[in-house]
Amino acid sequence: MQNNAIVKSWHSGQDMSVLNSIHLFDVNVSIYERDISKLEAELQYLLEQGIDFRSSGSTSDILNALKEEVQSNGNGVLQDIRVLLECFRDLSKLDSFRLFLATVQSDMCRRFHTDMNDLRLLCTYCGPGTLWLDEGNVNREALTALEPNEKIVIDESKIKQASAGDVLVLKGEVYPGMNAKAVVHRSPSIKSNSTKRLILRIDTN
Amino acid sequence: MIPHTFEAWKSCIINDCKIDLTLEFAQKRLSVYTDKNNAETKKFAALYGEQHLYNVITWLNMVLNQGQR
Repeated sequence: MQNNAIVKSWHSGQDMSVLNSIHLFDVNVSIYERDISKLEAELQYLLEQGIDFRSSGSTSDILNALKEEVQSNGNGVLQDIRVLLECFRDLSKLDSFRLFLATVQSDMCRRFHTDMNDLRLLCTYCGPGTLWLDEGNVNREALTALEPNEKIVIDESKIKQASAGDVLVLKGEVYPGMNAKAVVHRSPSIKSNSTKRLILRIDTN
Repeated sequence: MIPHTFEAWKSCIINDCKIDLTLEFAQKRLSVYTDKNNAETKKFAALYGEQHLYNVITWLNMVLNQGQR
């Protein structure tokens, strides 16, 4: 008998432990929804300053380098990133990472795509968040055939978007295991409306 | 959408993906993509095709050659 049950490809919640669900077979994006209003002043400062910080190595290597960049206006963002980096270390069970924290004023990857990695953590601190597709809203054949977004997305009205502050852990194409489906996602368009984004991205190295 | 020239690919990595195209990055990627038995290489070829894999290997070598001059 055919099983027609629709399996949810994403989990979200207001407790950080929801991020552990990324390791479930059918899940390809986990979202920790949270209120970051207490960081607003620091985040606005970094956004306006036009930060462009990149570092790789162990969590302590990265945090030591990051201190110099973000501590001038408070400790909140540094502590937040420390928690997220340690959470990602525990999730990935690896010990070397690449971290990118930057003000972005141009469009990044506009095509819906999957990442060639195992796991990625994303948090848009300010501005519009990442767009992503529930598995039921993806035309995988169009994706593989390198078709444009209009063909990849089944129903445009069902495109999902992260809110500022949300922490996303995304499953990529080389996540270990049989046939795990990487999440299909893209960056929001911002160039046309002069919006700025402050984004944090952590990859395994 | 898939870059067909070195300059377009470089722009995609640097401007769209915001990744530093360092020698270390190029070396790491090359060690993966020149290993045909690597699961990531197989996945890459399945997704983007052998031609694009060949192009990327060529472009990564160009990054190394430019950096070592």
